[in-house]
Amino acid sequence: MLPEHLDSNQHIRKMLMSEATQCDFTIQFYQSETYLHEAYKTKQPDLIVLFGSFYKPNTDIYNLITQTSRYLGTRVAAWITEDPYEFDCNYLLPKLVDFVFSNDKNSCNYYHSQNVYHLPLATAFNTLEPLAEPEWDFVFCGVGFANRIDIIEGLQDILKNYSTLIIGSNWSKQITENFFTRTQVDYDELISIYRNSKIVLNLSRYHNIANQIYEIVPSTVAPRTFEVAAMGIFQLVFFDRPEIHEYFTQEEIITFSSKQEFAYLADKYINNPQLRHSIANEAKQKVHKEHLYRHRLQTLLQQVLNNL
Amino acid sequence: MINRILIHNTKTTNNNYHLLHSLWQAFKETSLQIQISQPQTLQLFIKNFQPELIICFGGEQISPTIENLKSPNTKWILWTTEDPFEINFNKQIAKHFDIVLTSDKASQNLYSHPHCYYLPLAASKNWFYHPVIKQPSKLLYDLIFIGTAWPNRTKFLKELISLLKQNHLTSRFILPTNPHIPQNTLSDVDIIKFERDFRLAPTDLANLQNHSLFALTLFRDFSGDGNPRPQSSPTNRFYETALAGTGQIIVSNDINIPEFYPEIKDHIFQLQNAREIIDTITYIKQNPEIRNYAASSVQQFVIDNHSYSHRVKELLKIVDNLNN
Repeated sequence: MLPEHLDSNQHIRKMLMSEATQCDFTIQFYQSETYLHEAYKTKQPDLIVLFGSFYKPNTDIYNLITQTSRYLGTRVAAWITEDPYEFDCNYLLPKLVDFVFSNDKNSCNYYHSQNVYHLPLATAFNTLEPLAEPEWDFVFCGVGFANRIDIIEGLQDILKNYSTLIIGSNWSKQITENFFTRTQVDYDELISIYRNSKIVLNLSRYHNIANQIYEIVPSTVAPRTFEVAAMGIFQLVFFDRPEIHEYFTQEEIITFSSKQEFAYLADKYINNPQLRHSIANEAKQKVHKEHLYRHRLQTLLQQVLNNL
Repeated sequence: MINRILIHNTKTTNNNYHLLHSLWQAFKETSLQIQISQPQTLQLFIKNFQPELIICFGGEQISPTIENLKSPNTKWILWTTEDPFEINFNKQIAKHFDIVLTSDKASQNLYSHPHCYYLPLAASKNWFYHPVIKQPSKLLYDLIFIGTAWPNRTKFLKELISLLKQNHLTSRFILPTNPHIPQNTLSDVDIIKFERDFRLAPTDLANLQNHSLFALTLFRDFSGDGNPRPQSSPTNRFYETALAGTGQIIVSNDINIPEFYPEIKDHIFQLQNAREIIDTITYIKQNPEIRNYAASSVQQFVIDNHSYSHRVKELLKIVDNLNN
């Protein structure tokens, strides 16, 4: 994993580590620049998994991979978490490691390699519940990428009728002037806000860091979808990634494709807590059954064993 | 005897990479060795892989300096995928190749090259296949259109969208824009930007088409330089939509699918205008079995005749003929 000070998604690492304790195999985590040195001190592992982004580190990650496999003599897998946004930095990985797992299904096709598998991100088991009397009608948290600004501005007439909170940076003046906004919250506070909301808006990201070669369009939903579902909070998802129905049925996750549809759904669900809770509960059960990191780790290991 | 084949991606940025990937998958099913090179890695692959056949897939952007990379032991093929829109550039570089393949039938006659052939694009089951959904209750839309918002399409789309609403038919229009399209092209179309302006992964595109009673196919007659030139033969989108397992409505002045493929003339809904589309959808909603049979028939036709495996066989036959 990335050293802590370079890791912008620490909550994902924490979830992964807590879920690993539920697996029937032992996982040792290293999150520092000297992890190779530390790894020498432990018992020879059967598999090393490099997890996260391969774009940001100041360390020479490719050199580290080579050293790892050479000195430890162990099979190495890479679980990429930032496809397709950083794909141009990842596409050589199948030649460097034994197994590549990509968070994005569509991106898997672009490696033109047989040792690449799809492994979406997930969430941790969660006992939290939404609050009985939520303060916010709608909450969205994320960077104001162009596509998200288009959506919020497009839905502005409707959202203005409700108490709506937008969290994150880079939002347009039109949005910051019309809605309650917060620029930054940590993950624990975000959870509190989500629990205090009736509906969480789920809007995809289309913002590339290094995706010039093929301009790959993402197909797999972001892990936030699983995280919110695991808390039993109702979400409305903009339906631009039909792959979502490979994880949730239309009875478990409600999507919208147009302003008209959004207006209808907002009206239907805002004032009907029972209906919201019933659907959110279905999604929560599904996540606890199939979309926790413990399930992903089992899948990863099984895939490796199947292809040794 | 050819054993090592290199597919060269000619474009520095290629957002239609699934075409090239499908070709690679089809070659993988043969006993031939196959590799893919990028503009930056072509020389490296020529040196290390020593291909006997190089297929420059795409066209455009190829530098005439490839002449310096040629050797007597290697045959070079140019397979253009953007004719007739990029024909002016492609004609200039065609002379550097032993064989030219064009995906547009009429463009074949525009190359003064002794070995120029029409080889259409195709569709890969790996990306696009879905079984036809036969229960109307499981469909999401009556009509879907996913395609670039070329200016020639907007007047027609505006009328169609208006008629669909008037007739209470459900639809989805996903119309991603790009830098070649004049701004405000879609300002007259009654769909909010966020509803229409995004791209879909090829697999997701097929998924949405599969969940629609009909998918609309329009062909393009707008090039990057602004000059209108009609396509003369079916594009990859025709074959891909067929594999997605949906009823296919085609509106085109230039390409008549029933004439092109008489075998499926009774199963393609080739229509003239927006009114006919509304009438057809309305009728089929009462008679869904007609659409289901048509969708299955066209899908099977494409599986049997228009996969990239079929194209690979054809391509290798052309190469054999040249060698002989």
